Formats: sequence, C-alpha cells, structure tokens
Amino acid sequence: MVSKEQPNISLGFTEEKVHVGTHMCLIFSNENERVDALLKYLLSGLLAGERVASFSNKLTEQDVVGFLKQNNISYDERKSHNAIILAGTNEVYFQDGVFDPDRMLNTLSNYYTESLQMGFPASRVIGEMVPEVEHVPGGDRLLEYESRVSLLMRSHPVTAICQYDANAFDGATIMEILKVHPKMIVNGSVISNPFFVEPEEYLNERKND
Amino acid sequence: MTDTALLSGKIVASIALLQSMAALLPNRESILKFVSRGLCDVAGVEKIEYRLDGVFEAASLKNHNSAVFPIKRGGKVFAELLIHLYDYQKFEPYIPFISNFANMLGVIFEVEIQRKQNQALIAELEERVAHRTRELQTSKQKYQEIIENTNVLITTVDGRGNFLFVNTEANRIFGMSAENLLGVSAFDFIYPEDVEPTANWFNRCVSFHVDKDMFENRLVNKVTNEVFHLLWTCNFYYDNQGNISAIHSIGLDVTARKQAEEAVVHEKERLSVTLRCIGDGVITTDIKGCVVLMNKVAEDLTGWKQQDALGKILEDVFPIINETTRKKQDNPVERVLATGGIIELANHTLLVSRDGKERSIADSAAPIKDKENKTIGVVLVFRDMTEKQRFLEITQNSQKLEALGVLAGGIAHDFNNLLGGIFGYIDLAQESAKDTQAGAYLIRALNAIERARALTGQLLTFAKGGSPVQKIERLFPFLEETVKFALSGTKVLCNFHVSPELWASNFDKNQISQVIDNLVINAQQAMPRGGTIELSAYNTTLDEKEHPSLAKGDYVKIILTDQGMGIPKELIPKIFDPFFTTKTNGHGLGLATCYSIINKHGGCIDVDSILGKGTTFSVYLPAVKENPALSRSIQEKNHTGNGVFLVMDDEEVVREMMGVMLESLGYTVIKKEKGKDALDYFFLATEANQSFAGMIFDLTVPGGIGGKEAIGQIRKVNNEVPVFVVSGYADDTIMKSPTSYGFTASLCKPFRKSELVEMLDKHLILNK
Repeated sequence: MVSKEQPNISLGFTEEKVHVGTHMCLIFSNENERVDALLKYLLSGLLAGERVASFSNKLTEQDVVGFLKQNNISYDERKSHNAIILAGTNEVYFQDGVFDPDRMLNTLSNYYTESLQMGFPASRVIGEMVPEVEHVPGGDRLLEYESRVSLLMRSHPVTAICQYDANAFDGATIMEILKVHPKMIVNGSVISNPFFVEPEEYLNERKND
Repeated sequence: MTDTALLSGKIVASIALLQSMAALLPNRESILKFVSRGLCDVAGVEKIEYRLDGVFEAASLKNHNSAVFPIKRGGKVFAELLIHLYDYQKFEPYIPFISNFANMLGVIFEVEIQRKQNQALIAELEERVAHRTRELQTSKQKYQEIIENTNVLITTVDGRGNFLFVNTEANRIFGMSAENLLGVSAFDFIYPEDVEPTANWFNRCVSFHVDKDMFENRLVNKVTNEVFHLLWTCNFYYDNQGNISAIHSIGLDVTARKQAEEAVVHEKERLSVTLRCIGDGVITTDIKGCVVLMNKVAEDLTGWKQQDALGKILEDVFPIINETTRKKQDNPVERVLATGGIIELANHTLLVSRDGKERSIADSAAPIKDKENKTIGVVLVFRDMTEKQRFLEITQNSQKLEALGVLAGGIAHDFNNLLGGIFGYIDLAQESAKDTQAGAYLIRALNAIERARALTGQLLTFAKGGSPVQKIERLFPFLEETVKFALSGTKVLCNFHVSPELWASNFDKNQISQVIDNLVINAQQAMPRGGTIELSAYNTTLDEKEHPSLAKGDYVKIILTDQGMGIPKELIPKIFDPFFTTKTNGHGLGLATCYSIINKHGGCIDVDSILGKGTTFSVYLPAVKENPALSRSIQEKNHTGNGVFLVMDDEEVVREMMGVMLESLGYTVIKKEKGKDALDYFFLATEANQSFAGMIFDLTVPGGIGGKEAIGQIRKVNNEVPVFVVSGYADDTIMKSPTSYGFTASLCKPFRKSELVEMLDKHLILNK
C-alpha cells in the first residue's frame, strides 16, 4: 500500500506543485493552450524520471516527438524504456466499442503497479474524454468511473489529468465532472474544486438516484 | 450578531469558480445549465431554474421563496435565473455575489453573442473566400482550357525573343509543337521582308520602355511555307535594371481579313482607274442620296472636289434645272429609288456647277444593288452636252445657211441676169439722153442699180463663202456709207476722222463691208442705251517686226472705238475663236469671220479693251499707192468695131441688150439662145471660112450647153478667136480666171456698156 503522505511533484505548466496521485480535471476551450500545457506536463514527468502515458486523440505522437526533441529528449529512447505511452482515447477507453469503468480502473491500477515494478518512482497519465462517450455503451457510467478513480488514487497514486472540452460537453455535464474531481486546472492554475463531492458520497447519491 | 447567516467561504469560492468556468463554455444554454447546477450548493437554495427566452421579470424577490436574477447587459436582458429558496435567511448573504455573478454572465453572454456574430461573419467571409477560391480555380481551369483551345496564338518570349511559352495554336501557325518551340527564336518564323520592320519595332518598344503595344507582321509555317498575317498585342515586362524580362503576346490570325482587304484594295484601285478613265462624269450616292464617290470628270463638271462633296446630298452637288423653264428638275436619286430601275434625264437639262456655270447634260441614273438584290445606293453617269449641243446647232445652222446660200445664189444669178438687162438698157438710154434732165435721172437709176448689183454680189459671196474678189479702190466713202447703213435706226452715232490722203487698198467690197458691219453691230450692242462710235482711218508704214503679225509695208489703218462695257481681259484672247461668244443667242462666227476676211486680205485685226470704258478694234489693210481706176460712170471709151459677134445667152433680155450694145459699137451680132445652136452656127461658119470679131457666151445654161462646155469645142477648132464669158456667178472660178479655161476675158453680170467697151477695147485691140 502507499503511504499517506505523497511527495509533491511539478506539473510542468505551473509553478504550483501537487501531491503524487492527484486527480485533476482540465476543462479547456483553447486547443493550443491545452496542448501546450499537456506537453509540458509530460515533459516534466519524464524529466522527473516518472513514467508517463497519454490517452488522447488530439495529442499526436508527432506533437510529442517534436516537443521532446526541442527539449533534448529522445522519444524513441524513452519509449524503448517504457517511460512513455501514447495511445488514442478510443483505443484505451472504448475497447470493443464499450466504455467499461471497471476495465479502465483495472488498466490504471496495472499501469501504476507496472510502473513501480519497472522502477519508475512515480507515474502520471493524461486522459482525454470525448463527447462520443455519451453514445457509447457504458458511457453513462463516466461520472461513476471518475469518482471511482478518486478512490483508486488513494491506493494507487497515479497523478492524472482528465481533459474535457468545454465546447464539446454541455454545462450540466461539466458541472457534474467538476463534482468528481478534487482538483481542477483553471487558467493554468491548480485549485481545489469547491464543487468536489467525496466519492463515497457521490457514488452513494448516484446509487440512490 | 444578527440573524443573518454567515458567509460560507466554500460557497463564495464556488461562485467565483463558476464565474471563471462559465467563460469557458461555448454557449448560453450550456452556461446556464452549468451555473444552475453550480449555484444549487448555495445555502438556502432549493432549486434553480433558468429562462433563456420570453418575457423576463425584473430582478425581484418573491415572498422570500424565490429570487429572480436577470442576466443582462446595457439594458438588454439575455436570460434570467429563478432561484427557489427554502431558507431565505441563509441565502440572503449570497445575493450580492449572485447578482454580481449574473451581471458578469451578462457580459459573457454579450461577448458570446458578439463572438457568434463574429463567427458568423468569419464563417461567411470564409465561405466567400472558399467560394471565390473555387471560382478562381474553376476560372483558372477555364482559362487554361481557353488558352489551349483558342485559335488565337498566345506566346511568351524572353528579352532575346526566344519562346518561353506558346499555346497549341502554335502547331498551326509555326508548324511545330509547343514543346519543340520552347527556347527557339521567334524571329526564325518571321516572313523575310518583315524581319527588319519587326526588329525595328521591337527595339523601339524596348528603348522607350513601352508597356503595351500592337504590331502586325507575317509569319511563315516551317512545314507548309504558308504565310500568316498576325496582329499582335504585346505586353512588355521589365526587371529592376530595366531589361526586358518577358513579353506576353496575343497574336490574332488576320490572314483572311488581310486577303480580303487586299482584294478590296485591288478592287477599289481597279474601280478607281476605271472611273478615272471614264469620259463621263460618275457620282455614286448611298441610299439616303448622299454623295459617296465622284470621278474627275464629275468634279470638273460640278465644280465640286470629291473631298468637299462627300456626305453632301446630291442636290447640293448636282443641281439640275430645265433649260427652258428654269425650274428645278427632280432628284434622279429619288426617282431611281422610287422606280427601282434605270432612269434618264429629260431633254434640255442644265447642270449648274458650283461657280454658277450652266452646262447642258445628258444623264442616266441606276440603282446599285447588293448580293441580296437590295438597293444600297444610286450611280449617276452624265456627260457635258454643251459643245455637242452647240455643234449640233451650228451644224443645223450651217445646213440651213448652205441651203439658203444655194437658194440665194440662184436668186442672185437670176437677179443679175434681170439686172443685166435693166442695167444695159438704162445705160443705153442714158447714153442716148445725155445732157438732158432724163439723162440725169437715168444716172441716178444706174447708181441705184450699182447698189443692187453689189447686193447680189454679196448674196453670191454669202452663198459661196469664197475668197475675196478684190479690186483696188478707195475705202472712203464706201466705209462711211457702210457704217451709216448699219447704224440706221439705232441710238448710236459715228464720228469719222479720215486722213485726206488716205491710200487706196486692194479689197473685196462685199467682204470688207461684212467686217465693218460686224464691228459696228458689236459696238452698237455694247452700247444698248446709245453712244458714239469713233472711226478713224489713216496711212501707216510698218517696219520689220513692228507688228507681230504683219510684214513690213504700207497699210491703211482703220480704228473703230466704242463706249461700251468693254471685254474682260481674260476673254480677249478668245474673242476671235470660232464659236466663242458671250451672247446668249450668238453663234460665235462674227469676229471669227472678220478675222478670216482681213487675214485673207493680207491684213490684221487687233483688239484693245478697257473694262467699263470701251473697246477698240484696229484693222490693217495693205495699202496701194497707185490711183485706183476711175469710176465707171466717168470712164468712157470710144470703141468702134466691125465684123460678126456671136452672142449666146438663154436670157432673152440680156441677149438682146448685149446685141444692142455691140451693134451700137459697129458689130454685126448673131444671137443664139442655146449653146448648141451657137456652136452649130460657129462650126458651119468656120466651114464656110466666115470669121468672127468675137464671141460672148453665158457661163452656164440650165439643162444645156453653156460657155463652160462650149469653149473646149471652140478652141479645138479656133484658138485665136476672142471668146468672152459672162455670168451672174461672179465668184465662179472660171469668172475669176477665164484665160485658164480658154476664154479671152470675163465680165460679171450685170454690166454697163462702158464695162463691155473696156473689155472689148482691151482685148480686141490686142487682137488687132
């Protein structure tokens, strides 16, 4: 099991530091700013020796390779050491065309365990959710999944940034998403989310609904 | 502490976060949903509704159970939040925050609206750009297709004239494909004669940095050797140093047009030459009757130059009137257009030229038709008939005069025969009644008969028009009588200034009388209101070359001056020309006849005139210094003879009169009416060895043998006997030169006894 006190790490795009295993959401409306922030997030992780993974349709391998090269880091080399994983959203979240929170949580759990086994002191992940999730079987369990991620992070502290496009999800969904992320990134800053509802409570409410 | 609840930092932070997050969301609906959910955590709030459309309520609290927060900006309400409360007191502290938040949302909404509008504008612009881009792409494609498929030659050459681009039309023009032409010099294809002009044009364009110019030259197809005429439009492009970088040219194949133009030019040239060669005037007009073309003859006859006449209506250039009525004639163009066929002008049509001169013309006009047989104009062909008309009139007059002359000659002859009898018998009577009152009267009668004889002589001269029958005589008082006779009944007087020692002259009275008549009549016509003629005559001796037309010698100079209007200087050289006249009804023969008569007399006639003052004619006649023969009336000879005289004349009165005269002189007279009878008598007498003192034969006998026929037979037998010929035809060549025909001498009828005596005395004495 992990210790209660997690070390602080740099996110790359802000001077503020967060505990390892922090579950954050990034509600974005500007694509360029988002990509810039995420690349810096991945870079800082690699520079810290962490294992990094990106599950995004929009953040391409070409973007990452070019950005890392600019910072004297060989993508191929890191990849060969399993220090970096790039995969598309659909490929990771919607395997077999289904969104399965349990499988995803298991994936995260394994990722954390593997990373430790591989000798990485910590691991971080970027998860980009797409609005198609609402139409994918199991998509209605997205908030349950996010809430359970917060629970998982207590035992398997993978620093995670969940990305949601404000232009793609409606306001009600965004507010719900806020409720399941304890931290949120607003204008490049990490702030505590006043709308966050502890997972036990949130999951209980959903169960009652 | 009041009952007012304390503010929760978390809630305030939530509201602040909502404010930050709201701006991220894409639309009002999404924001309102987000906010509605977010504000549910505010204390005292039961639930939140929002209204985006419809009539909004003013900001208010409703019985502490609910609160309405309008989302507005600048007086415009975009939406409103309706917050249902379960505990007003708990909620109350957050009202300012929510109200402020609502205001901020108003700003966000306004920005969002503006952004949407901008997005719509941008989208529209993008769509326009995209549409325009598609159009340009389509257009570019079209242009490429047009460039390649057009039958216009499109080229680009560099500064040396080498091809950088040519379209597919090059195949047809140059005989080479576009690919093979690249890098080849355009000058290689220029028609040899056009190379230098093209190079000169090119250099000129470059020298003057011409941007655009047009040029025409010929190109040769390398395969077929076919020659093409190209009309080029060239755009010149220069680099920073001012050197030619490229020339984009569009060449239009105008070969067919050129050939057509050349054909038209040839046709025009041929037409022009043809028109110039035509002796008639030619004018063509368009359908409106405006002059399109006229040849040189038309220019001369109308007085209009083609360049001045072009475009004018025909009536201005070709005004025609009726010679008799002086009324304007119908426009021939209108008549052609009305009838559609060929028309001819009526007789007696006069063309009034630009300077007012009138010419008699013959004219025809015909429609000009195009290929569709549509009338497109009218052509007039006309000729000057003035001279022909005048010649015709003169010919007609000549024929009349000739006929009249024949008649006059016959009458004169017959009249002379009659006069011969009258003259002879009165002469004989006067001789018998000498020194009596009756004798004096008979002398007067004889003088009158002298005039009558002169008149018949004039008639014969008029009839024959022959050479003068000259006699040496004094000009005065003959000229004075002639002038007075011509001026009788007019308002014109004549003053005579005659030198008392005026020489005689060898002249034909009748013809000189005709000259003086003409000059006096001209003078009289020059003074229609009357006036005075000054006539002077004096002797003059000319040295060599003193007068341009006269030889050195003695002359009688007669000067006749009138006070008329004078003759314009430019007309003076023409006044002696035959048929020249300034008179409407003149024949132009008067002064020409004067000139001819004086010239035949070996003299000369000059003219001098001052416009407005008068005209002077000077007549030179060769002078004869010897005294002329005495007048017949005073010449008396005492002739007596004997022997037989054979007299033949068909006129009894003349025959008998001659018989009386000869018998009074002592001769025995045998009188015969017919020539044959006279000859028979002559031959019989000759056989019987009878001699003749002489014979007198009438020259001609109608229907019988006259002296003309008889003399030859007489001379065959007897070459010595004196044979005289008499005739009323004084102008006959036999009468003028009787010895040439075998006669001894001639005597013109009528004659007086003294004249007969003079002749007999002269010739029979010689015979004696």
